[in-house]
Amino acid sequence: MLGYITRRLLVTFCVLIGISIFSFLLLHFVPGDPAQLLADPWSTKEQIAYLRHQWGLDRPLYVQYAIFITNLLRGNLGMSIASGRPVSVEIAQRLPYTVILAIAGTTIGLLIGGGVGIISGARPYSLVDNIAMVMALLGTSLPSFWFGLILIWLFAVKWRVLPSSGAGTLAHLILPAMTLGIGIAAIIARQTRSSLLDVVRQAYITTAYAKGLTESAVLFRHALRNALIPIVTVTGLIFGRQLGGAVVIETVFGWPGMGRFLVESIFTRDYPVIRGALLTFGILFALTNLFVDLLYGVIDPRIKYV
Amino acid sequence: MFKKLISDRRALIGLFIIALIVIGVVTVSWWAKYDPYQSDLQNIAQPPSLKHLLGTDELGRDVLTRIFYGGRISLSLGVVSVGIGLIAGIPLGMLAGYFGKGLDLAITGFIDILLAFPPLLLAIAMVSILGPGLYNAMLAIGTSLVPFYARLVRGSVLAIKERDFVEAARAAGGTAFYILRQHILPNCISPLIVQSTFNMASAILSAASLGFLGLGAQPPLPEWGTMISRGRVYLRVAPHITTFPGLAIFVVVLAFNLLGDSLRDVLDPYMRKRQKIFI
Repeated sequence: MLGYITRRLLVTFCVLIGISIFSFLLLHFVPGDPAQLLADPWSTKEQIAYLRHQWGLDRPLYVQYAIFITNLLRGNLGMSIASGRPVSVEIAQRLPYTVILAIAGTTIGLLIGGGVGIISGARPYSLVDNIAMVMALLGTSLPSFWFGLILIWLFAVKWRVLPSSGAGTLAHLILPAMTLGIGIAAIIARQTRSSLLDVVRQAYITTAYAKGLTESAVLFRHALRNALIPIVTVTGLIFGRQLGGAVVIETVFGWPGMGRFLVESIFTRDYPVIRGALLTFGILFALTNLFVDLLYGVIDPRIKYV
Repeated sequence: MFKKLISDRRALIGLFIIALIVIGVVTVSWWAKYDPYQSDLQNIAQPPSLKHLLGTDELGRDVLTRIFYGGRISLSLGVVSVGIGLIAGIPLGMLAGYFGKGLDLAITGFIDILLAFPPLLLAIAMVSILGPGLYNAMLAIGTSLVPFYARLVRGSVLAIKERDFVEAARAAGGTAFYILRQHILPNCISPLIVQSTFNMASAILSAASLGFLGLGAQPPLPEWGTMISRGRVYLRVAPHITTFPGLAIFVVVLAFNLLGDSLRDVLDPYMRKRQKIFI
């Protein structure tokens, strides 16, 4: 187990290095002088020269990267051009909102998708299964921002029961989390069903029935536990992808998270923020993947020997 | 294979919808009564009627006409993005899988870093470098597909290159390029077709998302995501401006997903058990 954990940690470390190189190089890919991009448009020549020196932009690329990493480890991501405040402070303010939204959406997705998937998997090719899978297919094709707007139209404009945008109360969370959750539920439902179907063909399930166990005991104690691994993988992957989807949904609902912040920064060409936000998303995604990998070890003890 | 495919209801529905839309967007300039760009300030945000089947938008333009012109953008965007993904992803995956060692390590490392960002986020990162716009969106979405193709092809190559017929070709003096093109590539085609069908769906969805965020096609282009984003302001008084373009995205994405589901079952029975990433 220890070897497995060490290997996963090592892989994550390499990916984190990669992410840092990617976000470091971002500024160099944009046409123009990197120091100019880091400075606000009204800065004087001296201020730009100071920034160039501070980030080592007049020195070789590897020195620049070393300075970037040192600054990063000190939590220094530079100053936002738009607000003049440190990027790290701006991100720290918005990150919790994105994480809350992603967790709420994934939870809704797991509850609905898992439930539907189990019912479908337990009664494959039945009417209920057919209806559920058609719904799931529809759900995977739904453009989230459009679905979000429809929810706003129904719940905020027509029935006036929920707020259409903003954050602060639980009521504000419901619509964005539902929008995120339905898309996730569709994917999880399909995955749960197919991995349950794979498991119920196994001999130990026949044995369990032969022992005279009830269907629910077989389903929950034997089948579902073994079907969990692909479900966990998909959920982990989805959680990461939702971080991308959150960009769109946060914009629809005016949710003050990282995604909306990133989009706004692209419009204002606030490169220190763009770099910081992408870096944060990358780190969050890598850590989620690590968490999922470690979770395998708990769900399936065999994995430690792999 | 084709027989098997058309006996599957999902494939039939998917193909039927795609065919209908392709015919619609190709012929739209012949049958459309309105100009997609010409505003008509007398008829702003009219609900659906016999004159305007899907109503008019915030500048009085016919929504139905704009949706079909928008279909040209969305479909070509999907094709171009998938094309970029294929053109860059296949050679990368082949080189990594066939030559192995240092080259494999370098390419796999590169792929893993790209995969460290969710695809839409990677596309957004690209747009932040290139600047918003339709062509940049194509390039960005295409690039975000590259790692998926590279990984898929690498996996197939690893499995195929140890087979006897490849060994035989090598013994007969075939060069690496010849073996890759003649023997390995044809055996990668099935999973690539399946993946590309799903990628069409996801590329169209990503493009609409970028358009909605204002990072893709710019107004007055009748791109579906852009139309929704514009109509959003009028949600209270004229919900049809956002509803119909959204429905168009939904139907097209659904059609490609249906076709993809069916193709996967027909072309590659093993893939059903594999983990699906693009759903």
